[in-house]
Amino acid sequence: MSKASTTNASVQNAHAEEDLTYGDIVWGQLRKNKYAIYSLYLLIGLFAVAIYAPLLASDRPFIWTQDGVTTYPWFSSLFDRNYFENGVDIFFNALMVASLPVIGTWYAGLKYFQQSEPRKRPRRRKIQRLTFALIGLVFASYIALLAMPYEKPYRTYQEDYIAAQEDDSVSIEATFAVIPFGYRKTGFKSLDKPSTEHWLGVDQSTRDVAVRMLYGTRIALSIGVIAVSIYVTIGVFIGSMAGFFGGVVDLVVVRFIEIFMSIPSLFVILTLLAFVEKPSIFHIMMVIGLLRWTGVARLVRSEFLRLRNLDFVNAAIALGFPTHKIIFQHILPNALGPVLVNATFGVASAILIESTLSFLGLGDVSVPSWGQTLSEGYATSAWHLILTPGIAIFITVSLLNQLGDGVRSALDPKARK
Amino acid sequence: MSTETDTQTEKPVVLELKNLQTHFFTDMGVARSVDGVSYKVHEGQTLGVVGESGCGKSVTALSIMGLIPRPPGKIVGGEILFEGRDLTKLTEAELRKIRGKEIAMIFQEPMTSLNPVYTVGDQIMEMMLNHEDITELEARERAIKLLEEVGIPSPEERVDNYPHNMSGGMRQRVMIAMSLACSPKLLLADEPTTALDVTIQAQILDLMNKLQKERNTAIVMITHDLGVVAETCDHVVVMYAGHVAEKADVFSLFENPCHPYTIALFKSIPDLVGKGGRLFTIDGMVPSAYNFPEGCRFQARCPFATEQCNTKPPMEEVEPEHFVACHHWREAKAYYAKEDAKEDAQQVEQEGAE
Repeated sequence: MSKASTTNASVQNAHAEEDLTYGDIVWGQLRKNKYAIYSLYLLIGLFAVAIYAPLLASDRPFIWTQDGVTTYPWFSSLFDRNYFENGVDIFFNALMVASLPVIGTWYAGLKYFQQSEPRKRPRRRKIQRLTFALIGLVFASYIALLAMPYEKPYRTYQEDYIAAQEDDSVSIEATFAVIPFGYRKTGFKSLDKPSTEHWLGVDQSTRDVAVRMLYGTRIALSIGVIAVSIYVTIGVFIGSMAGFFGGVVDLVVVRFIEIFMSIPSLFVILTLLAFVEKPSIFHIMMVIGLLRWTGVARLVRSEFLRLRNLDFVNAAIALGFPTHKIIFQHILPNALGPVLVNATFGVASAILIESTLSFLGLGDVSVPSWGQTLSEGYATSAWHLILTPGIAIFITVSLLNQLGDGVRSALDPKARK
Repeated sequence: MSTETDTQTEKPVVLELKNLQTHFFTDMGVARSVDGVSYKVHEGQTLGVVGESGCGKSVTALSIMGLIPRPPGKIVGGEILFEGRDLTKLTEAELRKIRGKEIAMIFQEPMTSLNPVYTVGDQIMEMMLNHEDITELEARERAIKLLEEVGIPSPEERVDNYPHNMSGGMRQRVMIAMSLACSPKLLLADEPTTALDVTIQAQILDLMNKLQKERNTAIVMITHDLGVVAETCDHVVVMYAGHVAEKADVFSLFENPCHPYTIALFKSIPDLVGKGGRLFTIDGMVPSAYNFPEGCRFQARCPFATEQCNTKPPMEEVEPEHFVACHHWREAKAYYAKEDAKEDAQQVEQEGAE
């Protein structure tokens, strides 16, 4: 009896091992790479910092009791577009608010499906559907938030609090975040060195550096991810058209790519931004996205040229599938490996480009980007203004490069054992 | 002759090629890979297309499917009549409705003919969802049933496997299941067993035979293996360098091969019974598709070639339903009959001596 059950178990194990998807194999391969996996965890940590920044730093108190009346200004500030002016912050705040219920639902769903669905493949599909639904929900709520009216007066809680402590006639009790400043809060001593009050010092424009670094993570990561998403979309589309249809289409596209690549993109970006009166963070994302698609397009094209002649593509045609399905459902998933590597490195380079632009004074002045602080450091030669953003940029970019390298070797079939 | 129903077999004609010409226009010149091929396929029967590599077998099949890469390829002449409709005149959208649903194709290399990123179940289901109006659940059930039919053990589990979890023979079974998912009237099998090992080959051929009987599908079996032809086919077309050399039903071809090329092909099969020795070979090589000779294309390698062979030989009817395209088939037959007799006599003599 026991022997029968053990053989049964081993048979099941054999099946479980057999049913690996390509993703499973690549993930297993990536997990063996220590540096890449640590980079991945640290990057996830960085995203967490970006998402939960208001918990660490905000000049709105969590709880505010004035004359016996308790209000919660921190919560009402999250989607107040007088307080958080740009869409990036609103998006990350939405993520922060949604994170707990979303992760909770996802985890509960995972557990539920594991019990209710013993077969691996349908279960995976259900989990995928749940994940997409939740992502869709977050985006929908973000759009709803952007559409919400915002007409609340701006109030300086921090100053009121300090004033109240000196004045006995007003009784105020408040709980603030660890760093009780907003990133647009001015009025500190210019170029103050790091201290217990200002952990990373104060910049030339009399703002707290620690807060700006914290919120700068949001800007850097969103610039990277959104700009890369834009150009990967463009590159994949153009590259797959060229690779699949070949002939004249291919010729025209490749010549176009070559012309595009021969123009140094930084100067094009500088020129384009010079036309915009007040470049916002979204302009910068768009410009990077519209200029850097050539690499992805070439990669996808070459993969398509290789895959186009494989039998399964011919089989797909012979089985009567429509052309768009053949391109996007049959060939494209097989061509995405190299694009993933390119995209990881692309995020790093987009962050660098944004820092460069901010450093040159062409960035969005309303957002707390790392490059701006660096630029002020360069102008004033204050060491704390150079070192802090420098280290932040360096760490982020090298983590991304490390991860990109890991992904590349994980996708390499020769490295598999 | 060209009536819809053939009088002798009394089965309706599913596919008829009339003087099909597929040429490739490249920088090196024009390759006349298929140059005037005609044959018929009857419902529920198998037609074997035999020939060396590069003789135009596969190009013929790809022409039927409309899979010729354009440019450089082009169907310059002839008709492909599928149930009376000329496939060469249909638009891409009309062709797409026929592909998969009415004509399906099995490829040579099972390792690359399934998409590595989808499970085999998904691929079979997609096929059905694409051509028929059914729900995903029904499609899944039918996919499992199909996998069972093609002899895959525990199909409920296998349906969620990826192609790389399967062996070559299993993948070819999946490929067959996929191509039969919509019960097509015609199945083009382009060397379906060449990439498999011999024991699996026999299983796959048996399977195809069985499924053909159940569904009454017509099959065009493209192969260079005369053993496969003997085992599966009802009719045979022997192709050489883009021309049809000989066509007949399988028994009369094996008993009475007439074209010097066909005879040579049969002679170059190793004989299990007779005494060992050097295998018969055909001297020379298939001429390049860019400069085929005028007239008979086999003439450079043919021991019976004369001046006359510079004109294209007509299709001559040797016996009912047995055609040969050769000026000298009578001489060739007589010569090889004498040779055989001599050999037999020698063998008898040797056996007697022993």
